[in-house]
Amino acid sequence: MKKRSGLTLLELTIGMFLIAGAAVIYLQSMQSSKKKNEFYSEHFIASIMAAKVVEACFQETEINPYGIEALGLADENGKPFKFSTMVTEGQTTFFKQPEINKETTPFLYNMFQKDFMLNITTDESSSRHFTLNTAFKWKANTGPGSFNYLCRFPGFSPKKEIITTFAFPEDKLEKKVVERIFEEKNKNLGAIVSSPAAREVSLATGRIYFTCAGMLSAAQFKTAMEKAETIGSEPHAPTSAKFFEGTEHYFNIARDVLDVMVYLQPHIETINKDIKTIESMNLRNRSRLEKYIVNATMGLDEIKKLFLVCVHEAASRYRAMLNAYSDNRQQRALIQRCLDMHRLMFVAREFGEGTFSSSDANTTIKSEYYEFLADLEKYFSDKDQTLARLAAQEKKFAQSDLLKKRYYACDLVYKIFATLATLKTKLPEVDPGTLDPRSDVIGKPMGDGTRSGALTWARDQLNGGTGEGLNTNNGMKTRDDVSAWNNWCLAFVATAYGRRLNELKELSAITSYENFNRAGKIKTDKKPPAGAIMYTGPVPGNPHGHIFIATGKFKNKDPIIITTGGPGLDGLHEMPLSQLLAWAGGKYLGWTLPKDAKQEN
Amino acid sequence: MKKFLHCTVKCPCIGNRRNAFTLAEVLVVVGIASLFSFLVFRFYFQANRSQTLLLDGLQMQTAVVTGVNKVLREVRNGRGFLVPSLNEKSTILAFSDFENNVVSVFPLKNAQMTKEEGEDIYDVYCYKTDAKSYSGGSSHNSKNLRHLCSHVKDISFQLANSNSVTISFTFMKGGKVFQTISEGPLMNSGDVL
Repeated sequence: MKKRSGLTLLELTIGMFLIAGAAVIYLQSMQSSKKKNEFYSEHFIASIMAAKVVEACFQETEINPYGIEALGLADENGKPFKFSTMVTEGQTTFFKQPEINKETTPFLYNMFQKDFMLNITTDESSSRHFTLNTAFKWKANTGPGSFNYLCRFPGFSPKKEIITTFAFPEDKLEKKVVERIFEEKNKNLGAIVSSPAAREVSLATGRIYFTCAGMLSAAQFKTAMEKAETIGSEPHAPTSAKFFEGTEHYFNIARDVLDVMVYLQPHIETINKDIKTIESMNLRNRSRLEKYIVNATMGLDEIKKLFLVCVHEAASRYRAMLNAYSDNRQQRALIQRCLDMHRLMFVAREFGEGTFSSSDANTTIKSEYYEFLADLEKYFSDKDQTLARLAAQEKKFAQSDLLKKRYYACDLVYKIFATLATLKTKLPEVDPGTLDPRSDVIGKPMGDGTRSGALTWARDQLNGGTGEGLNTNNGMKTRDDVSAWNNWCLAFVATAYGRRLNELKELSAITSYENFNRAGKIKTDKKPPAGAIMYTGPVPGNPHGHIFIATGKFKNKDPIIITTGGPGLDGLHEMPLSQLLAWAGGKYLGWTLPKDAKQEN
Repeated sequence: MKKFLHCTVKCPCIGNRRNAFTLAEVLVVVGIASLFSFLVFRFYFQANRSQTLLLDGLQMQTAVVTGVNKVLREVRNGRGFLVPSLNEKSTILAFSDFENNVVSVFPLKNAQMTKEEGEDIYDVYCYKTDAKSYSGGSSHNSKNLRHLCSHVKDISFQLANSNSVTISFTFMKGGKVFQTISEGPLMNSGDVL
């Protein structure tokens, strides 16, 4: 057999094709790696861009609880929706500064031009949060790609927790109500007030009255007020530590008052809802409770005024600091505080009557707030889009009356003030000097000679009272006959005063009026205090005039009086003066407040 | 006829071993071999180039990720921006940290890389001025200087708001450009009052 000395052509060809095949496979794998590398680059860029979007959302929601909406990622009602846009040419808020364009960032521009879409799906994961799915999707040469970044953002303003050191201790409340409001000792409240609803009203009244009184007289509160006023009156630069200290005092007082109001709000609601139930109580206790309800409302009014003044003062001072500071982050924090203060004042503006001595509260608060928002939007439009958007959104909320709906504290303050205002319409306006009812004249034939005794006795003759008062002229009592005092107005008032006032020992009301008038004791305004003796002049058919007693209460500035009846109006009545004038006719002559006859004796 | 067929001269073609290729055979083999070697070398160079590009890309990505992260990490130590102002753009960033030190992030030209790339290439550094030991002099302590990233063709800082800065990077290596835009927030965003 001969030895073969070379490869055949076929063998060589096969060999070459094998090597070529291997080379092709290797090259293909290299190409695929290159493509993968390019894909990873795109993925990496997408991840950095998604992180930028998420960071922008964090920044927006840090200062604005409705930032997701301000960014356009939720609709006008705060409801979530889908958002999809091309990244290039400044089509989205997130890439407007700096804009991705051909000139400045050609590499990014070319990459994003490859059908690079930013998709954001907002989901309301709960009523309080949005889940944001920030997704980039692209269809480049390397194939379709996507990157998702799931994150949660707040979409609400948080509820305020009730933490107040001024709340009256619950374990001492019932005892205090019994002793102070009802002037009883060693009794349960149940023994004094049988109706459970009226008991709740009594306790709520106690909570409000004692808490307000406790707060206004607390040493720490008084000291804070004094410090705030002292520093506020001193000329400090807005950047100084003293100015800041004064501002913080005002802010802290406002916060303390708000905490107290939050604590009291359900109790104001209770009184507002169940005030009618106290009508089932006996006259003495009802009168006492009524007086304390009025006092509690006055206490609330007092802290309401204090709140508005402190909030307004704090807002003005924060604005002054804002103008003086150049540090952006300090400005940002101050803007937040300013907006908090202005929002609260704005929703409470209709209840601020009498708060500012110089001008109308409603107009002042409104104009200051809109002015501040306009300044904010203008100044930050080219500096900090987050703040410019916040100002524009806030203005929209204010104009559409949405602040209450969007901000818990605003809603709360409005509710408290509105409930308080409603409650006040249900209460008779009582003179601050209203007398304590005197229980010792109830069921007696006449008063004890004091103003409070006269009033209590007169009320005791009304429906619901004992009606034991004796008209010595006819020997009748209202207990037996409602017309017992008909046409005996002077006798009624004289008996209420225990028949001890010399000026009333006359034959007609008009003569007794002249007695007081001669002594210069008649006042002609329509603001008679409780127990005041009031007069109207003679009319055809009644030359004697008319005399009656003031209760110290008012309905729409119309004094409520207790009067005897006559033709067409049997019995004794509690009514507004205007109603009496319409019934009896005659000119209103005025009122006089006798000194306590008992004391004179 | 048999005689005629019987060859008296010893013929090399018949009954003997052949010891040379014909010209045609040689040409075919040379042609195939050249084609093969051309293909093989082409594949080889292409593969080599692809691998180099791939490695460059990966290196670049790593450099970009590391660089961006290092700069962001520095920003996160900040408490308040000093440079640029709210509506300005700048190639340097200065901020104060929670110890009131002033930290600056700035680019510095790298001569060698600039020569290699034929364009201005920078390294990005961070320098912290220690507020406690700063005496007002212009000398600096090299211990406070730290390198953050290389291959930077361009870097720009623009404040998105008082709490965060948008940083635009352009990296360049081997003539290849890579750009990113990133947002760096300050870490201590608590109450500053």
